[in-house]
Amino acid sequence: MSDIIGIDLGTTNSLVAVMKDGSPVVVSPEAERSIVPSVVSFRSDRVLVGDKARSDRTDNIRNTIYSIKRFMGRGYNDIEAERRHLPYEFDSSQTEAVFVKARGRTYGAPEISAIILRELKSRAEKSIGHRVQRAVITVPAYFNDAQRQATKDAGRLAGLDVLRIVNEPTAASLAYGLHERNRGIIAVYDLGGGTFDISILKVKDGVFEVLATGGDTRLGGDDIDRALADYLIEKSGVENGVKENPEIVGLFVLAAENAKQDLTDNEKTEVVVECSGESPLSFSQTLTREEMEKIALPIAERTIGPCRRALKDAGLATSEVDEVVLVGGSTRMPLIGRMVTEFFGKEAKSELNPDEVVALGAAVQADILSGGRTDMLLLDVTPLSLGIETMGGAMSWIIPRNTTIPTSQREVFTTFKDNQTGVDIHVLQGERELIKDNRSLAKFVLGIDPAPAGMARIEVSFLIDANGILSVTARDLRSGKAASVEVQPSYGLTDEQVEKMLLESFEHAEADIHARQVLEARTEAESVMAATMRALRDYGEDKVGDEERNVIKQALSELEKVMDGDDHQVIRDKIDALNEVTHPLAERMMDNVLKEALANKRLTEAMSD
Amino acid sequence: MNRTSTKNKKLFSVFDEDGEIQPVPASVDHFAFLELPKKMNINEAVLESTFFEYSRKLHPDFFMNAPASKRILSLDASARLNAAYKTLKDPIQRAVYLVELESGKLEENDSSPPVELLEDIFMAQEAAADYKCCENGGEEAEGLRANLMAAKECFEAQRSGQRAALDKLGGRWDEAVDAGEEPPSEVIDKLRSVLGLRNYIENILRNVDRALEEA
Repeated sequence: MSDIIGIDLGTTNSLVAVMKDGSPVVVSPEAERSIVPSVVSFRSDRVLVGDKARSDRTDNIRNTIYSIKRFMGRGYNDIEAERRHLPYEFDSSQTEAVFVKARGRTYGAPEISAIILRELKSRAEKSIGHRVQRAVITVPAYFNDAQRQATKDAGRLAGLDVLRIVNEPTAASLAYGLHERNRGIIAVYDLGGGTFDISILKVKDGVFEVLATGGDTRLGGDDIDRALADYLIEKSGVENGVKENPEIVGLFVLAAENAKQDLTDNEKTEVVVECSGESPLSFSQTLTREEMEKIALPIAERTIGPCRRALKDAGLATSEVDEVVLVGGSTRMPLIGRMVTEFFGKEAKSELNPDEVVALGAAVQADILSGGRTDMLLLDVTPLSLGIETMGGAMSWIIPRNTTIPTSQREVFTTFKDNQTGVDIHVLQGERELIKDNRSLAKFVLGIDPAPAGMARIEVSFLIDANGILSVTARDLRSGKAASVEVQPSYGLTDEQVEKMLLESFEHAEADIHARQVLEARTEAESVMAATMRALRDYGEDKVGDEERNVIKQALSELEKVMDGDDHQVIRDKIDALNEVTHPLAERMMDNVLKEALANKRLTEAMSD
Repeated sequence: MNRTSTKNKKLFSVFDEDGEIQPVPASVDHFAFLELPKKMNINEAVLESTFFEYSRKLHPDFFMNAPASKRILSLDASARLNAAYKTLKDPIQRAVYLVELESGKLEENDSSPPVELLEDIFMAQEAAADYKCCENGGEEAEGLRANLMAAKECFEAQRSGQRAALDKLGGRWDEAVDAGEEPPSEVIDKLRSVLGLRNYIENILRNVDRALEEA
């Protein structure tokens, strides 16, 4: 059994945890902190990560990248407000994904995250003494599909097989529930550096069932730092023109971060900002906790709305919550503790280190996936409703938010025009009535054989897996054949871009390219197998002749046999062989399904080409 | 009317004799899938423990190291299980599902709102629209809010009346099932009309809530 590591990839800090003697432990190398600040510094001769890079936020300010998690799965135009406070440069020529610039090169957000992941991977390898290839990585529960996908891409770029994307608050609940498997209703309030999540769970008999989740992926301790930095800049009296200088802003943000941390245990602190560059500056000022809290309050209060909604979605009153757990470094602020306690009407707990608890939970989930632990099970939900665009730019919902995953839903589409050969489908996530207010995930084009208008019957299956990631498959109900689905993700990297990054990454030798070809052949094999198995199931196995069924099952099992091998060509040959023998079945399914389609069936009508 | 026959039908089980997961055909309904009686009232504690028990046997977490074919079966069966649990644990969704299983889809315009409700519906929609439009606070907004709250109360009362009617009809349904009979068609018809009307009431309450939230 190979090891699976648990990674908390945070906005401000990251950690890796492993299982040791049946308990999760955070990896902490000798003479170093277990926390790895999520900072990457590109120096002229090398790349630094973590604590070593953090000090470069003053010395190598334009080439030191932090808070990259905020940009995962986003587009350049989404991040205008956030860009202003960051001293590094962005590439404005690419709008579907965020690219940053350092020392003349551009990096996609997942590439920066991959550098952090590689550091965590190597720490874990040193700690357990052998190579690690598989990981569980946590994300904010409220992350959308593109943000989850970007996190998976980052893992792939770091040479990790990401077995599962787990939601941070639920991971934390696993760590908390390790020794007490009946905890009743718990609320996990998770305020990190850049994101906020609230999850309501029912913990019973070792089953951790998420009832509802809510949050804001652009709300965290960072926002308090930035508001505080703006306040300090005003107080410093620096002139307009200098105020917008990214280096000056960067220095004030850093000072604000430090001041906020000091004020956790102290009533007041001294803020010092010095700069000797082109616009020299020397600023020193006493800041009290009360002053800081006044600035932080409006930001902290934005967490209450999502808490209220999550409770409502779960159908619970605050009084029905048995336990409130605080997660994330920002919950160390006394202000947050007071606010949460007041809202839920009971003392909020933080027995486990709020910085470490998510990574510990990720290691527990890794243990479950590796088969090491069978008495615990996490049942998570999809945080956002999934829907498609219909006439007039309205949203037609397919899967509502807070649906337990995995979940799947089928919809049937038809054509409007004679001989139309494609139907466009636009998939979105969000809760608003109009698609313009929701988040576009992807556009699909369904390939259709020419037929009179309204005759086509394309069944599209939307499947959200246990990672909260959507996959779409389509089938032509008249021919029974798989219909082509051309995916164009709206945000994030395309497969080709990830490929290119992998090739460019100097760490990837030929062996890795081969490994990837094998991995891809396996993925395809799996999807062809799934399609065949579902077709057999839907058509009815008993209706297929014995001989034909045996031939198909034979081809299935042959493919399965070679799947774990290391030769991608052999896998591909068996995929072709399976496709060959299922062809007659596909053709015969035509008649059967045509009848069904002509029966009185309600159709969802899609936009025409 | 009755399309499903319980007679002479082999009971479905998602597990074969060796405990391996079987494909779940679309023709297997949620009750059959979970091996529960097709009744309006079900023991929710039993439903929950059944859901947990099946989750422990079907969830993809426990098949990460299994061959691909088993992983696919686990994923599909888990999605199916989650859908079944979601539908059956909510009494209303369960009632709709059961009625549709027995007598066909409830179309949205299956039942038109009764005449005595028309005026109330109109008033509620009007109040919601007015309240949304009026941006400035003050006395006018207060008045409109009061109108809206009154509409909300009226429809909430309607809703609880509906709920009582549903409970009664559900009881009669179950009595028939317990006696080994088909649910009387009179009960089915009444359920269809109550459930159809419920859509109207829910829509109005949703609208009212949205108006209250937005302001």
